[in-house]
Amino acid sequence: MKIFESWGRFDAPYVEARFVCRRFGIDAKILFLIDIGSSSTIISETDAEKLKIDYPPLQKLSKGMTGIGGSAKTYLMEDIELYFESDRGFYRANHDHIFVIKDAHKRDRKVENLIPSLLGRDFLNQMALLVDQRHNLVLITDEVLTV
Amino acid sequence: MKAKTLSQKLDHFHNDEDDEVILESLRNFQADSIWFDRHYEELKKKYKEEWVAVLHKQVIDHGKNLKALLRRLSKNYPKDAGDIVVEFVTLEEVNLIL
Repeated sequence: MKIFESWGRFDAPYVEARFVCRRFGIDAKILFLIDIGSSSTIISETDAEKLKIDYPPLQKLSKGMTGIGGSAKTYLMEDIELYFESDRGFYRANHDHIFVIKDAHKRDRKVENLIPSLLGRDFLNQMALLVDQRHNLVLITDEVLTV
Repeated sequence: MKAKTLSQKLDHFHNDEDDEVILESLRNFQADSIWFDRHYEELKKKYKEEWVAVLHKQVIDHGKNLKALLRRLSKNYPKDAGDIVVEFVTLEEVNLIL
């Protein structure tokens, strides 16, 4: 299975996905920045708004997310399906849970608006990832890559 | 919390008729995302510090308030609301270090 994607804003690799949460009736498209630096897949606050995710029903974690850019309140969303277009049709990844963040950059709303959702190592560690900006190549595959 | 949080059904590929429709909408979403990136400099001139909604490679709505924009999109494009690319346009040069 191969998922081909491309480079986008901030000179970073992105992948589009269909985000489905049956429990909350959510079925919409989302753009993920592919981030091997992130241990988990994370939905940004602005994408949470776009996906119409309500925070109150979600479990708030006592410890928030921390990264180079600071920390954020973190909520747990369970039973998520992500669908990617692959060379073999849809590829579905079932996430037992993903994280949804809030107030990552409360003091700078413009920056908050730009923070993307992240496809993290919970997904990527089960794949091979090949990126080459020179050739606008982003490849995620479950096949074995030999160099 | 369990260390392993992702379960995947590696053999779960669909290719029925409904999936073709959804795949097409995913391809359109990708095309609109790319269109947004490629036209960002033009968009900055017209819609600075605004949210811009793109569908089928066209700006279909814009505004400073995301919630209000999303409400309008749900009302005016009820079938496509989940397929619309909505991004913020700013003049600021931001280096993203996550």
